[in-house]
Amino acid sequence: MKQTQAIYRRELNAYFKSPIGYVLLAIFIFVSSLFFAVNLLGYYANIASELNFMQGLFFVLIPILTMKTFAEERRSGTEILLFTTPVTTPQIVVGKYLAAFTLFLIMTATTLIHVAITVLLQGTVDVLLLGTYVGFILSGAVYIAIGVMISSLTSNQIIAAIVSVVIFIGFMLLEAIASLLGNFTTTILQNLDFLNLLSAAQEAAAGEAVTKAVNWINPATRLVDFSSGIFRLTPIVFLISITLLFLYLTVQVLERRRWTQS
Amino acid sequence: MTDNKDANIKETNSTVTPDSGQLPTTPAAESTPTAESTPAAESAPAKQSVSPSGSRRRPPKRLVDRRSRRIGRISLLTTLVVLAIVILVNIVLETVVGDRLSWDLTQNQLMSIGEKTEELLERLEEDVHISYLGTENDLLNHSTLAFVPQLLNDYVNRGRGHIIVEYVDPVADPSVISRLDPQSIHQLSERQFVVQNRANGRLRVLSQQDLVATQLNQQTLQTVMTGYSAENAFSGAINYVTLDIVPTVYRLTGHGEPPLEESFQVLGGLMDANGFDVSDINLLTVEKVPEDAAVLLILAPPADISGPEADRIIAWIKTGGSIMVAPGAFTGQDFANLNRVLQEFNIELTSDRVREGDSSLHLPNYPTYILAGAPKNDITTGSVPETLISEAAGVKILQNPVEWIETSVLLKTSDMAVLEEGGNPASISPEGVQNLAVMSDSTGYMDGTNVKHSSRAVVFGSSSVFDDQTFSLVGYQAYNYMLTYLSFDWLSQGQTDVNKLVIPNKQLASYKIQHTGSTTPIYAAAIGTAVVLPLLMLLLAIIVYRRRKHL
Repeated sequence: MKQTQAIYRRELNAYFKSPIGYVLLAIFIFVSSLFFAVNLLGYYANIASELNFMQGLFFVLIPILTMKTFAEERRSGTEILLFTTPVTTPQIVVGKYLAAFTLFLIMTATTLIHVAITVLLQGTVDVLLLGTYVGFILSGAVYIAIGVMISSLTSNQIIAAIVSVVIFIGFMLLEAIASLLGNFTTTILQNLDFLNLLSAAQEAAAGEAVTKAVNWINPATRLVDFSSGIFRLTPIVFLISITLLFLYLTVQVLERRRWTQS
Repeated sequence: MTDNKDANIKETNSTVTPDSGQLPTTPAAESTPTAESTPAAESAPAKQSVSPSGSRRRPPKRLVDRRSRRIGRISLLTTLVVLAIVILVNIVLETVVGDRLSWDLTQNQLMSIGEKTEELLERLEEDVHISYLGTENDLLNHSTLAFVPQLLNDYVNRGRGHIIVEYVDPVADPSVISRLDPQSIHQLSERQFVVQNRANGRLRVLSQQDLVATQLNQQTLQTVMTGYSAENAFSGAINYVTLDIVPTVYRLTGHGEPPLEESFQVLGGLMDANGFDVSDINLLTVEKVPEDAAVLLILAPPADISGPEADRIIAWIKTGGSIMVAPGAFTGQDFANLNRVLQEFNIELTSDRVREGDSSLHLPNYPTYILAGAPKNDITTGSVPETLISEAAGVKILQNPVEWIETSVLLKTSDMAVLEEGGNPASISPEGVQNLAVMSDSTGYMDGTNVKHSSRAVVFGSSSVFDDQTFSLVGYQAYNYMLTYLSFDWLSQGQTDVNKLVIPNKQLASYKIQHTGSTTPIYAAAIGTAVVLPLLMLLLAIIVYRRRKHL
């Protein structure tokens, strides 16, 4: 625990001892506040829609946040130093992950200023916002875990960032891809079913099932419920388990590098 | 840590047989090479091999490759196991828990069914299929209807197995149209909902527009959404397809009456929800009111009805028919022929406008927008909120008392109201209580054989009681909505009291800022958050950058 804390502190300090933490905060605050301010001038304040809008920026912000996590250590050679300290790989990963996640939470917390202003100006702050915050933070947790893992795969920060961006955009497009795959499945079944073993409804249902299955594994789709006002247990467990899975994968990547020679 | 690793490698190296090159199967070598496993390696320093020059020898490449491959295999295996566990846990959770542990956080409980629908579903004994002609994704991606799949899930979850929801894309499965509507009566098309009771074959088609309440903005001439009517629409359709008897309300047309969709969407939705079929009838061309009519509705006629129409309506009243009369916004129109009909009930619709004198009982500066009181009678049985009625004509009870006609006041003003004669504000009646709506029950034509029901009438001084503009002003908190339903229920003499589905539309959540004072705080908040705070962060970034530069 102490080792994790030490790494966590070191990483969090690193964000604020370099301009990167402040620049990220500046970008986040500027974009979210711009959205808020434009609505506010029209006498309208919906923080939930602001958070949904900000989720669209994850594919830019989170790669910047996570790109240096391991890639920079590897490039500068400090990874060996890290590996030779009396710290286990999971402790390293968790410490670095929590530092990045904390910066993300600080960014998220800046939107509480908007909540306070909304309350002061007699706007509506309802319980839906709580669900939206939970969804926002959980999705950030997943994307940061993915970004950290990508960073562990390469020694080049830029490559780590680009790959993360591509993956996050992939998540955004996955919904459309899921729909295409569903239609493709239906079409294939229709063309192959010479003997009419399946009814048209069954073929359509098979396509729908494929679409649902692909959407089921897509974190972006699983978050729709939160933003629309439904607070469900299953997406929460799903997002937490995906986060843990990617942290585990990161540990595996580093363990392999730590204990193998080539 | 590097020493540990080297020690581990050299320990294994020293026990390799020259011929086979096989790794020994020591526990330390077999275990996953994590940081925790290194102490085992550290405990064997005696077996380290050192070159004659004193420097440590690197292990042979082949050995290292084997070791790396084994680590890779173990890593891959454990990763697959963890992945399988993650997927399994989520699938099991989705199957076992599913939607049961979910909460609707929306301000208006948009995705959950209400008490009335729950009661309806509890009484349901037949299966009802709700088919959406499109994909679930279409709805989930819809800007305003994304909540519908979740709402339908709630119907399924609480429907005790009687509600079956399916999404069938007619593009992928064109036969669905003919399956649902073999005779093509309903002209089904994409993106419609079909609510069907396959036991009796009755179905109701809902369009996407039926799920939202809209209103025409008179200033911009654009239709704006004012609320959600999805629960009302679905529950009404379920009610309709499971009703044994479907009463019909005939709406009199032929005088330029506005269609229900134009100004009376809420009223239309209310009647749909309670299983009324609404049909138009033009008594200038049709000789008599059909026998299946439960109520004849004379709604906002811009002109008086003709003599022959009045005769046909009176003929129908004599068979036990019931009517509801509600003229449009006050114009001073004289309804001579209509009043001939109303005389059957001892009622007269005047050509005088009602003006409220008590400023606490009308909208500010609008004395003809009256908050009317509703005394107790067969329709209003308890204490109720006020009812907004605007630009109403006075409704007079005729001084012709006969024992078979029972007349009661349904809506009235305070005792400070006056009648503007002919709509002239300068010519007013003495102050007093003015009737804004009257109900009447006539048993005069009942003979117990051909005519088993009494004839009934409800006359409002204005159709504003239930027009969409009023509902947008007072919502569902005022008595207007309930009064509308109860009036129809009373007129149809119990034909509709199967479910009493009075489900108000769900209001749009409003995120408008209510601040009314100076605009300075708003500008200050906007500039402070969007300009000052980001600049502050950038300034800090520059300071940190400059400090690091000089390190």
